[in-house]
Amino acid sequence: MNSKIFIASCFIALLALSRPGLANDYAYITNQGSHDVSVIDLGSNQVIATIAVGKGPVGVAVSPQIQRVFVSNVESQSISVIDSQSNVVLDEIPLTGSPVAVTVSPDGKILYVADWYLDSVIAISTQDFKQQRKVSIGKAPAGLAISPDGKTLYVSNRDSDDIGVIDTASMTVTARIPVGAHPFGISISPDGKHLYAVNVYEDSVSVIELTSGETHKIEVGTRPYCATISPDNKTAYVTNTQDDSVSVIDVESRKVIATIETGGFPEGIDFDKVSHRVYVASWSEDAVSVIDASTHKVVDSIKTGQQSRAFGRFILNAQD
Amino acid sequence: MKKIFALLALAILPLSAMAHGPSPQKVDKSVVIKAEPAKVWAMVKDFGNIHKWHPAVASTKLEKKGDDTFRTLTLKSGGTIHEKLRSADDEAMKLRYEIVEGVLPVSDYNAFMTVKAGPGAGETTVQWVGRFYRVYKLNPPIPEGQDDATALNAVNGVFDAGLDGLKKTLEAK
Repeated sequence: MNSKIFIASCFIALLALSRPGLANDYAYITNQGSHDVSVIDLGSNQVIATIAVGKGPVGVAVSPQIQRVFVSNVESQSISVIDSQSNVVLDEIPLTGSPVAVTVSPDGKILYVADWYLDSVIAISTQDFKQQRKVSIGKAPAGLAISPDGKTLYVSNRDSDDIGVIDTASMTVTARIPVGAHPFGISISPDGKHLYAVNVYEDSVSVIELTSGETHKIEVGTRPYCATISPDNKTAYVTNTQDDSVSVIDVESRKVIATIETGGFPEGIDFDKVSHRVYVASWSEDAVSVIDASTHKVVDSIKTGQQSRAFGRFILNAQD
Repeated sequence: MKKIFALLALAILPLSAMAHGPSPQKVDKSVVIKAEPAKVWAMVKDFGNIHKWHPAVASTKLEKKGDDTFRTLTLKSGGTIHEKLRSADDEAMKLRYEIVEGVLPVSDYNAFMTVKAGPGAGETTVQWVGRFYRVYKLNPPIPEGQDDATALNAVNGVFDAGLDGLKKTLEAK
């Protein structure tokens, strides 16, 4: 075969492998006060779309597998379903309780919703929203995180001060792990070894070694809220809502190695592995602060909607 | 069909009680004062003397407990508010404080005030931002006077009267 034709056909094959319409990476930021979602193109750090959703959107979960973004509308008691290719709302799933955190199984088949009115976690089929299963859990379930293999779901029970462990196949609670006071945001390391639970009333984060069940506490800033972990599992980032800062934690030594000033009342936080930057929603400034993960410096601030919260995994990468 | 079902279900929702855990509420107010920033900041950061500019406050009592600073406001309408100073940053001209307890119908209240030069020459902008929850933190039914609207009204009233008083006091000098 002619080498030029061979190279050309390899190139075409590569093009066919990449998903259409998803050339870039995006952040989906829920704005509780303006009842919409700001879509940020992470290449340019510009808001490229503003999507009206239900009332009081807080939680967010992205699924590159099915190209959907799920948003929990706390005040209208529903989930908005967004097509991430067109940025159009396809559906609104009505719920009887009040959804907070949402997360999606790694294969994109199941959406999990924490309902802090009914003290339960709901599993919803992303193919047929009427197919739902429910499990009762502790008081005021708030944050959700799913293991990389999709077999285990973790939920922070804000008013029971513990983490519920749910077997997703049977939808049963298999364990309750005590943490600090008022756990809210939780995050699992990409390797599935550690779970970080942010203890809001204790100004600390609990690290749970998921293999041994051993837990450790690390002091962070005032009224911490959410956490995210770098793709190499080595660094954790925690938002401190009342210090306007992010604590950077070295996972191995369990020490805070830097504290970065951000926009006011930082809440949701997520790591973009493509740009190696950390995106933080600023509730009081109606903006997103962008941190360079190598230098620990804020490199950008992007204006969003009102009272940005972005509670959950909000970055959608094209290559996932 | 799925959409119609969803719409039908949504139409029924307003009939049921609005069930949700409390959401943080925000009040964000600003005022432009014809005075130099340094002069405005000196008054804003003077934690024990808010009665000098806030028309609703009759007197202020400042207390130190170890490294912490507290103040107790006695209101003209009666009642007190006990507050803790979180920080007073001279470089950023930013004051942070929280309510420990008091008569305002809010919970988990914390706020900041910032002082910035501008927009015009010889002018200063003061921003006052509060974050708080309603008193009743559980799910509905919400007792009267403990809902989001009551909390918002109260804080809006405090900020409006306070910023107006701050402006009048500083511009009168």
